[in-house]
Amino acid sequence: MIEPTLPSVPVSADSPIADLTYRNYDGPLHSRAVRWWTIAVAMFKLHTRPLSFKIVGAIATLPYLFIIALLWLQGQIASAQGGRPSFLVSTGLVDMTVGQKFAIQFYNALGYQLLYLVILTLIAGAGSIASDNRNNALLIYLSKPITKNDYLLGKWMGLFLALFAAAFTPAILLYLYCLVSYYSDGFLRDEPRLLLHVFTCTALAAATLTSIMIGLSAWSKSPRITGAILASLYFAGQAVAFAMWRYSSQGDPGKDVILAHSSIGGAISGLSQGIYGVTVHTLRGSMRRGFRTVDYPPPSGTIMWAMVLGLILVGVVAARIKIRAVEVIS
Amino acid sequence: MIDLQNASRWYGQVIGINDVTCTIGPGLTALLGPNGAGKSTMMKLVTGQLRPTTGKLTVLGEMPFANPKVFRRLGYCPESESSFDDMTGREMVTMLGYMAGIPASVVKGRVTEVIEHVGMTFAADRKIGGYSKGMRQRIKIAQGIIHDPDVLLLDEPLNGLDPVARKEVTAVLHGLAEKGKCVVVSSHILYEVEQMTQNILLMHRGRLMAQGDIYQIRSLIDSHPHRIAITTRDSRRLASLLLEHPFVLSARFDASDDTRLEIETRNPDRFYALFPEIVLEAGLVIDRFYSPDNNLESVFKYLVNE
Amino acid sequence: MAVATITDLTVRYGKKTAVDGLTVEIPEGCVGLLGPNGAGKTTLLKTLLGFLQPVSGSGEVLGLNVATDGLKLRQKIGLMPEIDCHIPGMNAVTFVAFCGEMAGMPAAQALRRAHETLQYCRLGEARYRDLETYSTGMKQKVKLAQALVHGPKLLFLDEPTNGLDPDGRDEMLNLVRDVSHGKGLNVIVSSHLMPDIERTCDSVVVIRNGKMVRQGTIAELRTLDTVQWTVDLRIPSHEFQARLVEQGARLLSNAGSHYRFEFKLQPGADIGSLMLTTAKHVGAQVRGFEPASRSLEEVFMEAIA
Repeated sequence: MIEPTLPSVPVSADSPIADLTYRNYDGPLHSRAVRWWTIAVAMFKLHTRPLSFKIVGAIATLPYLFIIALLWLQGQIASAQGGRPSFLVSTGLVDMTVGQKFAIQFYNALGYQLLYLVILTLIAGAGSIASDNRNNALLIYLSKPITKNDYLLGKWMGLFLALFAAAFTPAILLYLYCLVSYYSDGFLRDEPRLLLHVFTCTALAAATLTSIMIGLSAWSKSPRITGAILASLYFAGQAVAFAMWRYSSQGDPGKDVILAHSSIGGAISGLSQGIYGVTVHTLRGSMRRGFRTVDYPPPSGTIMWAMVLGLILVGVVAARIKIRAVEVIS
Repeated sequence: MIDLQNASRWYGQVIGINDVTCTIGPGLTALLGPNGAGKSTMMKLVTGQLRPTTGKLTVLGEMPFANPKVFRRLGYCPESESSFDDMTGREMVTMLGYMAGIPASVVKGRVTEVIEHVGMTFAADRKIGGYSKGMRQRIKIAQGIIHDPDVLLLDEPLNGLDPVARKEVTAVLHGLAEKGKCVVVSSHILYEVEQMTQNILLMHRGRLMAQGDIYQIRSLIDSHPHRIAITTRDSRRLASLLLEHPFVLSARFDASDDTRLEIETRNPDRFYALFPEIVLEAGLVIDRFYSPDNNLESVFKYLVNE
Repeated sequence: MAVATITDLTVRYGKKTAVDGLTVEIPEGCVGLLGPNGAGKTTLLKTLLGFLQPVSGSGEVLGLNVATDGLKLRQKIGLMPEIDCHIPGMNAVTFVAFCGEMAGMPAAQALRRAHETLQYCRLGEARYRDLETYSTGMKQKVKLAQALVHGPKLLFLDEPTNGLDPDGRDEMLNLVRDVSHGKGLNVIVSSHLMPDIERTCDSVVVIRNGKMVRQGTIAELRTLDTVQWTVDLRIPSHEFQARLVEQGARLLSNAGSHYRFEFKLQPGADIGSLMLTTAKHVGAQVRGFEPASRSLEEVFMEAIA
């Protein structure tokens, strides 16, 4: 007997029984231009949902809390001691040079935070395109009315926003703290473009890590391998750059600055230093030979910009080449 | 050749197979069951990858677990696509031939022989990565039979094959079964199984539901009376004549087609004996009649959905 | 009105000419796409989705040009791929809604529609669980739901019953049949399982070596030129066979107690009674007979031979 297994009821507007069989969708549609944003939003939610991301993100705020504590402490000591420089200043933890008093703290904070950003990138991003490859998710994406560029841009933006949010939120909190506490001290007057610099440096750090991760991820089917490769590129790269610099400069921090910054982390931090425009004052020497302050101005801006933009470009291009639409149906 | 006695296997709390007793002899037997029924556990137990937690299991008289004596006479074609993509078909079969214990002096000839047997000579020296699904299945069978095993197990061998390739692979398997080998095929596509063999082993939730000939099993399923569909112009007249007899349980008409009549009976033999008498005596013209549930799909449904 | 009109289409895939001067008109309704592995079916589907550029020839699908209107095509087409595919980290609702949004639906509509299609595909409470925990049957349903969510006018189904239990297969085939009839949706099913095709499709297109070799409605293709009947006895009977042959029948095939005869009688002749009488005379028990038609599998084999 041929029995209809799905309810077939007379389709009349007056029927008390609703017709719940399949119907088409003829409703409104968004324009094509925003498709990548849909992907970006979905990816952002996906990246920021795991508990590990939230925890590491929370840990990544610690450097800023530390700096808030330093500045507060400095303020307390300064008012107690009058004009004499506090131990914080003399050890270089706090830099009172006008014009970079605060910028340098942001610069330092970014330096500490980079490690956590890399970890966040690993947590969030390794899965990004690699797990799509493994799960054949590209079949789904590319069979929709989107282009490869939409897909790539969406993925990139999703990861970037996740990393940027994690990096920028504590920075903006620090900025607001400084604004509130040190406004009378000339916070805005002395360093008017600081907010812009914070935004730019954080964005560049996030963009660089995102691009490299996306670039690696597109070539792999295994999120773990991708993560391992990024981690080794970052950390081993840093170690190698340091070793080369050590050899070439015999330990003199003033020499071969570019070489010292020839790693992912180095390039980001070198560029940030340039953008913030801070000169790092450090104490060098020993108890025996006595201490002296040495100044390290930011490394050449052009070269740093080239390195960072180069890394971003390489990552994006590598991903673009690899994404093939054609394997949609096996 | 394969003998299980109250064999059970579980993983932690999850039951793989539960108190299964059966004997599988020479010929082509299909191992059926929904997903999770215990087919893969059975396969793993028979191929000696697992040991039964309780009960006994012997293959060719011995326990198969880690037993090279059994392995030498057992062939296995697993479901997974092996990662031999970079080798040519010939290389892969040769390597597995060595592993099966074939001495170097005869392996080359044996490889050629077995590749020809599955009809893969034309592609034997191409990389497996470039093979179609059908070709992969056939080369898998080649490596499974290279050592001329007495027992051959295949996990979903017809998966993804087009009808031509399906026919070819089935022919190879039939050939082996006719030689007296015990060939066990695990599948969940009933249509393909029905074309291959009538001998089944039906599993469900780890238990052995039925074993033997499909049609025999069907005739023994009491709880579902036999349905017979008859198409005739005089459906109502036929129905009333049939309903006079006590072993005809019901007559149903199709709302959309008055010439279609479906009869239910617990005694098919008596029905089939009675039917021609009634038809010829009353001079009715029958367009067609057949039993819609005398097939594997119905057997499966009736047993599994109980 | 044809859903797709393909004229002399040639498509290269790598070094291979996968589609070779293919000319075919795909009618409305549910069409089965058949062909041996490597015949060019998958390449054809990819071209119709706008992924591959044809080397020559033209293809028009739903009024759009396959060479230039790739994006618009994918707006109107839904694809249910054969292999397992999902976006990790999502549950069914999120996934299907996301697919809807990628097709341009506003988020609220996409979510509402996701629930609607998941309901239609018979996925219940499990829709709130992560996709990675799903069984094969559930994954297939989700694949179908994501293909339907944006209300396409043409649906491509690649082996829709892959990995499904007989029950699941039943459900899926009913869904396909339902969605392709009377709902304004055209369906192309690519499958190797003839019973699936017979149950869902009205017509088939057979492709071999990149060319179309057979096309027509299933009913047409299955009709035989001669009058053939199959009959099942309880046990094989030579006498029955001989007796029928005496009366003008020709034995075409015999497998155990299953016979296939060709009759050269007038149309309208009561072959049923003939067989019952013959059986009665030789003491055989008839268990079924019906007019034979070519099985779709036979059609397929003949077409690609």
